Amino acid sequence: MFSLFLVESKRQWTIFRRYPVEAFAGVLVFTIIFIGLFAGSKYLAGNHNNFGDRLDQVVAGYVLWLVTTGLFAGPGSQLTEDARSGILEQLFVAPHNFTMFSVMRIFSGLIQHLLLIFVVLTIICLITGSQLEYHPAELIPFVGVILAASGLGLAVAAYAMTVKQVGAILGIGQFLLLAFVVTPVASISHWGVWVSLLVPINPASQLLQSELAIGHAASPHEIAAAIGNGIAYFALGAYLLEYSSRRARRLAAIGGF
Amino acid sequence: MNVLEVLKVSKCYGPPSDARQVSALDDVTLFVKKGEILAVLGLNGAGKTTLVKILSGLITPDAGVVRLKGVERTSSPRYLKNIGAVFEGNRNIYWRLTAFENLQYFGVLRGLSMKHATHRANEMLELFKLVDKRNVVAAHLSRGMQQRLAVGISLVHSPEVLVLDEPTLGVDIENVLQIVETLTQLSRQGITIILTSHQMDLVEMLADRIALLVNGKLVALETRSGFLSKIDRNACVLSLLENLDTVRCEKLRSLGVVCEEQVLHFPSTSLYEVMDVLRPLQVGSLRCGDEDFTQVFLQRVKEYENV
Repeated sequence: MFSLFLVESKRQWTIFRRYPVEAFAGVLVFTIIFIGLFAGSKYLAGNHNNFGDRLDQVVAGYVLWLVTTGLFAGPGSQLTEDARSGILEQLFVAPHNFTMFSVMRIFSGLIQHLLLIFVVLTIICLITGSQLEYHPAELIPFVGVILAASGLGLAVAAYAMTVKQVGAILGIGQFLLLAFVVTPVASISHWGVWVSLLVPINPASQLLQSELAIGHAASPHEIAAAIGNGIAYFALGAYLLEYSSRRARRLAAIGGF
Repeated sequence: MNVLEVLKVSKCYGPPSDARQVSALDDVTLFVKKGEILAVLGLNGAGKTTLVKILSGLITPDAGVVRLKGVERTSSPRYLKNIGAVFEGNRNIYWRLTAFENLQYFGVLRGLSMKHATHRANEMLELFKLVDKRNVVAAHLSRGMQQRLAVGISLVHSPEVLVLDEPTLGVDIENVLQIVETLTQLSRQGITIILTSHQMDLVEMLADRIALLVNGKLVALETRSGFLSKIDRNACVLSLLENLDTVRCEKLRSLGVVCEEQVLHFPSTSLYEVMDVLRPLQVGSLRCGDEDFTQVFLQRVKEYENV
């Protein structure tokens, strides 16, 4: 599996290097969107444009949203593209479990994805003057965000396996992700804490945003909720993809439209 | 020695309760020897692609067993390591990677180490005469070269069985001949090849044996010469300028004539009897002898469709 991880990373890096315009166009678009939001908010705030911790929280939320959209859209879009070019059939006749391969593929593309988001974050911080606090402990809820978003991505891939079209679901999904990432579900009512455990990504993203923006120290049960939510959604996504792969094999639907 | 055994394999599409359920394969049994080239023939919808996709592990059969060197589960890694496949209509390659990068990638994907995959990638480039295109992005290769690359990819992990669904579809004659040469060479080296094709000249050049599928049923499994000898290669094809009436049609059928609207197929030995029945209808053309492989194939299919 490690050789496969290397060769898949090499493939993604080669394509990134050979066709850099697509990747950098993404960086540009996401930066411009944020600048638009930032400038709009400044205008609305008028003379009281001192955002303070809230700005840091918005920056953290926006960056986390970018992280999750990439992980959410990646597996399904790749599967659709592979089905069109006939690669999907080749992946299925390879002696690896397709779900395992898809998981490996998510992680092999993660570094490249995070590097691009780091570029966006740096530009945003330079423009807004936002200062996020980084601590090694923040890695744990960040892993929770990545696991939950990857799980949703695998679930979309499971759907793509059946219909080979995910454009609409990806479009709607971006807005849902925004809600999952930025809504402080836990503070909505006294039931909110329990509800937030069920909302994908939310416990981890809320914890991470407060850590990054206001230096909040996470309690053990907050960390457990962030990781538990991530693992649960990751396992659910992997299960759905495995189920739909077996179903596609049975129904002769691999590679077909 | 049989490398591949297909025992009573069936596959239906659609839910069992649905009247529109289609039987794609019905109780197919066949054995393929090491180094043999088996051509699976049939009209569109006969079940060829379903059969080769089952053999490749891409479709799970509803019933029956497929055994490759004793391994039964077609989706198991042990089974898949011994099989290579190229499917119809797709080149199965990454357009944005070079020929070498594609071969190396798929080598690792098929279970080779990076070092071994690199070595095999270079061997495949030589075997398929693509050395000078090593660093050319696949999208910039000609269609024939892309197809050769796709076959090379399916062989990069040294499988014992190679499954090719329409390997020369849309490929020019020069590339077809190169593919034929390479496949013949591979067969001599002991690689078993199962292919489907609508190009009968390719089948005639390559196949050791022919499996004929009609409506999902395996109706013939014979050597190439056996397949050809089952019919009269001096058969006649007669075109009429007007439609046949039912009485004449029945009489002709009793003489072994295959009636197809205004075209009749029959053995040359029946020529005079057929003409007697047809008189005074107007004959457009009559051709006897020199049946090519395509006509033999069509005649065999009709023979079984009528049954």
